[in-house]
Amino acid sequence: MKIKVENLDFYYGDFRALKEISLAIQPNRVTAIIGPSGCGKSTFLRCLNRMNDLIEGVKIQGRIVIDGQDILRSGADLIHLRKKVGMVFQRPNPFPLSIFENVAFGLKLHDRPPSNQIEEIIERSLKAVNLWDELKDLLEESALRLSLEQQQRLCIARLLAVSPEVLLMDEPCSALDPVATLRIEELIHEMKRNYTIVIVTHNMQQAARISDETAYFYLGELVEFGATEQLFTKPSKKETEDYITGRFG
Amino acid sequence: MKRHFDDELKKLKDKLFRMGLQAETAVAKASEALFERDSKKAEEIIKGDQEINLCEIEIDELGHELIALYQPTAVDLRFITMVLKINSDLERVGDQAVNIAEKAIEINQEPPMKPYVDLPKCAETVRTMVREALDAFMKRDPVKAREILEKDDVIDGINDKVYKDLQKLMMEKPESVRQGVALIMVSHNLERVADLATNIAEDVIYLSRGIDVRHHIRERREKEEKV
Repeated sequence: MKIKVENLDFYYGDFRALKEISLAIQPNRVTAIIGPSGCGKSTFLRCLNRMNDLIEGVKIQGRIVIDGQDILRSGADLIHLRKKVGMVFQRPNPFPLSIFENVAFGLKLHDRPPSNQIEEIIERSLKAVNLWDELKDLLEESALRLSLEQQQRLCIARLLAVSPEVLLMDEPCSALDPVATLRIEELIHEMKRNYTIVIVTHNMQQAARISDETAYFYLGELVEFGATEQLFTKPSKKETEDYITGRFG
Repeated sequence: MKRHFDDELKKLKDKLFRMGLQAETAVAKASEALFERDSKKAEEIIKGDQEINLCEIEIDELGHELIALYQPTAVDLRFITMVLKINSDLERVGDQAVNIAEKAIEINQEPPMKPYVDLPKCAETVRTMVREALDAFMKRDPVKAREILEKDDVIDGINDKVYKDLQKLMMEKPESVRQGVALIMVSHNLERVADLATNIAEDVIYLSRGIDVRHHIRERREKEEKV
């Protein structure tokens, strides 16, 4: 397994947002996290690269082991972690720079390769998100001129440039129209060959379409976790069935 | 845009086609078992039916999964729902082949009461209807599907003739009643297979054109609107 979460508890001050979460995320699969608003999905996602550390007054207990290393141990290298475990957000957030500089930004910060290598890596990253053909002659243009879908792809390319192993996606299609959403979903499907992907989504149908495994969260608890085709055809918990059939939530 | 969902649909389509070939072969071999008086062949058909039944279960499961996971619409939804219907019809074709095989074993225990003339023609036409229905499904060809609907009347006609000929023979030779009744049932089984092939053809038309031609419903609706 790629990521093992053991008895994870998370607090915002006194509020216990996650309660003894334990699950295993397999490599080169898409794992979807579903559940009603406020159930802890995004909180859980942000634990996987310790982005929650940036919030004041939080407390975390338990273990999150990625490739055999507990990322919650003191002294863990957070820069290395966030390079290895990249994140894509709900609203595309390209930097106010050129397309080229957006993709090169992380590279220049982390690895600082020679410039000819940077160009190769940028081409490879843009090809991986199916943007190279569209943008190869526009690399000096501002990234802010791109469509929302292109911006989201660019943000993914920016991650890929620093060779992550895990991609965390927090409702990556919320700001996109249905056709753009479908294209991003196909991209996710292609990318899982090379990356482990964890996606939070409010859209249950999206979770059903693109994920291999699905975790249903409710009020900070993991209610059910299993193969997506099993969860969406014969869930083992009534609470899961009530949620996915729309009887609740 | 290529969708990975298309690969899943192809998997479902290929599974159904393979099952259809098995069912078509079962009908052909069951008929041969009767006309060639080969009870061993008949026993193989009866044993082989379990494989067709297992295919039905697999296809149903896959179809339901695809509906749950992909929420198909329009032609994709029609495709999956028609596959589930055709699946059930093909399983019944397999059952009819078993019925024919069982009757073959029974009939083969006695000397034949007369040479088979109409039944072999019927069996061949029915086998062709099943194959053509499968081809029409694979190619989503509504024109080919329509041609199958027309053949069903031919089979109904042969079935009537077989019934009348056997009835006459049984009245002339009462000792032939057992065999006669068994052959009437075989004719009925073949006529049922033709009906199932017709169902498949109707499903192909619905899949391709979104038009429901079952039970002459269109003509009935048009008539109601005129009144």
